[in-house]
Order: sequence, then structure tokens, then C-alpha cells
Amino acid sequence: MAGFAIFDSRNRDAKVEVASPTRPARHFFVNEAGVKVKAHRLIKCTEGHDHPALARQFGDAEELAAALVAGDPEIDLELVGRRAGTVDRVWLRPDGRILHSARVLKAVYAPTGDELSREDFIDVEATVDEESALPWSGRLLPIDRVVRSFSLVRKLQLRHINGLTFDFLRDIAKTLADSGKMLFVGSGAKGTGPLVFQRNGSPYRGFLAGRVDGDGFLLVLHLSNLELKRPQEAE
Amino acid sequence: MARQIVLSFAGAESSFDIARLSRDRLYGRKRRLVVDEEGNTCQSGLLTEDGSTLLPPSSTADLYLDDDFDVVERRELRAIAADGEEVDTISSTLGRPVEVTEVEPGRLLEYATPTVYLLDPAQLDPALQAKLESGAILETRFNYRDSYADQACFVIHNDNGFFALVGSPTGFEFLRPEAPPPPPPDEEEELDDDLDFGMF
Repeated sequence: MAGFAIFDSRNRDAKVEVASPTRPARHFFVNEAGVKVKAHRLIKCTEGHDHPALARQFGDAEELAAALVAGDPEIDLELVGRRAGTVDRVWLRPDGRILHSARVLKAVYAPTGDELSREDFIDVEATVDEESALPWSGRLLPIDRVVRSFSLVRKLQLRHINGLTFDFLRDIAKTLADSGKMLFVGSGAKGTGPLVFQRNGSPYRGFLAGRVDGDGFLLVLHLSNLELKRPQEAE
Repeated sequence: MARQIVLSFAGAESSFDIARLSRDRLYGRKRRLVVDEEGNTCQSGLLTEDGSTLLPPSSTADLYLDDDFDVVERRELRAIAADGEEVDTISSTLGRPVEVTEVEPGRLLEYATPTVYLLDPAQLDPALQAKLESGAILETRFNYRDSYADQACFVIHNDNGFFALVGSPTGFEFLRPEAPPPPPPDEEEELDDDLDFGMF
């Protein structure tokens, strides 16, 4: 996402950019001779040669076992070992044929794995964008309480796009730094809704924290979708 | 036997069984299913670009190959950093003692911690227990298996028990007025979300 709009404590809003954490340094692999190697996706099985297809073809396990001993029906000698190359994702019916008219459902499962419901899938729209500014909830929470209650699984740094937004964001950072607390950030008019950054994306709780250093500032939106709780099964 | 982290604090060792804490275990999950006309669940497969070959689920394998198209086993691989230096393997921290140091809560804000383990004490030194239950946050290093990079690990206690939060530093730096405009966002940096189950 390029950015979103947000209000400050004085009910002024501005569009800002966001940045994700820097990626760790990358490395590449060489073989024992020091020659660079590359990762490839290779074909190991093709249509008609997988277990379900062979089971259908031979009827029962004894027949299939005998066929496997006598020959190599599971191997397509023309294709196995070749690079898959560019592929398209398709959906396959239980009998292995391509599905041309798909119906998409949403299945809900309990923590135990039991299916609770199944209904037609409806897209969940993003709640964070450049048009609807995230409100200043006014809910300031101690840092210790936040880090002890939630795992902050993602972070977005709020960045200015011009001089005006630099001052805007630095003011927010200073407000939060002076309070020594984090601001709860949610979507909707009251700021209590989930933060969903893209269609059908995960819902997050947001916690905004700021620091200032001279004329500089650091303003980070900490996102959590995981509470530090024991699952019921572990209790 | 469960895998354990072993914390060394004030000259004594404490060990904890670890279990990954996931959203599925806490909240359950939502999943997109594709069904056919009879309501049978369908699986995803792959079709090669030329449309000639249909690949059922789990019908491909990712392997490292050299220039001669020979497979190079993982144990034969050596990691090389961008500067050309070989990257050393870091041993797993599980089952061996690691030193902990106390840090301020703000330290956790410098890290994204997507991996959380629930800790069940197997052998808990009273001094460490008292320290954690008094609200201290302890930092150490964590590496589940031998790899080329370990991660930071923060051990905390709350009303629900002991937890280890594992993650990497964000690398965010202070923004300055005289600094050049930030680079355009990386298009690959989209949040790799899927439909998920909320706390709401």
C-alpha cells in the first residue's frame, strides 16, 4: 500500500505514505565447488499418474501395487524432471478434471478444527485508504500494557510527502512521545473498527507510537492480529 | 520430548517447553473453498503455460540445480553474502542455554514479532520466575533450527502465562526535514494477507 489518510489530535487530516520494515540482507547459494546454483520448480508428477488417478485406473490397492512392481505407471517419462516454467492456477474436480465454473464459499472453522459454517464468499473491502482518514481515537495505552497483551506482528512507518506533512506527522510523534503512550488506531467514524489494508486482507488492531530526536521524528503504526493468550485447548 | 528453550539468568538455568501460538488455535479460521456444481470441494492444480500439461496438487518439487542441471542437495549448499563472504551457519538455540538480558518495553517496538511461542515451564529457577512475574521483559536470541540467521526473542509474562515473541528489527530510522523525499513504496511490499479471522 502506498499510504493512507489520518487525523491528528486537533482533528486535522492529511495523506501520508507508509513504508514497511527493511528486508534482511539476502544471500545466494553456491555448490561445494563454489558455483552459483539456482532454485527451479520441477515436475515430479502429472495428470493421470498421481495416486488418485492410478487408484481409479487399477481399481484396488492390490492391482495398483502389482502394477507399481511390474512397471513405472506413476512416472510420465516425457515430463517428470522438466522445469514447470510459467504456470496458471486451475481448480480440479475430485476426479481430477478441470473445473470451469467455480463456486466460491467461505468456511468457518472453530479453534478445534470443527467446521462451523459454510456460505457463499463475499469480499471484505479494505477499511484503510487515502479517502477515509483514520480518526484520532484518543485512546492512549501504556506501551508496557500493549506489548504484554499483543504480539505486534507488522509495522508501518508513517512518512511525509512534503514539508506540511512532515510538520503534521512530527507533531503527532511529539504528542505521543510526550505522553509516553501508544494511540489505539482503528477504522470507522469512532476508530473502533478493524484495520484492513486490502480487499479480503487480515483485520488488525493498530497502535501508533512516536519518538522525536531533535528536528527528526519516528512515527510507527504497530499492527497486531494476535493476542497473548492461551488457546482453550492449552488451558 | 517437546522442544525447549533454555534461559540462563543470574547463573541458573530454566527450561520451557515451547508450542507455537497461532491465530488458528486462538480464534479459529476462515477459509475460501471452491466447490463444483454438486458442492464437492475442489483442489487447486497447475496448468503449464502452453496448456499441454495439467499438474495435480503436490506434483512439483523445488530443487537447487547447477549449470549442468544436476541437483545440489541442501547439505551441499553454501550461503554467500552480497559482499562475497561465506555466511556462517548459526546453530539452533533450542535445547541449549542462552543468556538473557533485561530490556525496556520500548525495545519491543523496534521489532516486528510475527512468531509467538507459548512457554510451559519445565524447570523454572525462582529468580527468573520472580523477575518475569515482576514485569521484566528479557531479550535473548532464537533460532529454531540451524540456519544462516537467528532472531531476537523477547520473553514476557502476563496473566495468561509465559510467552516468547520472536522477530526481526524494523530498521526504521528517524525522518529529517533536510532528508530527500522517501523513495516510492516497494510494489512487492504489499501485506501478504489472506482472508483471516479477526479478534473483533
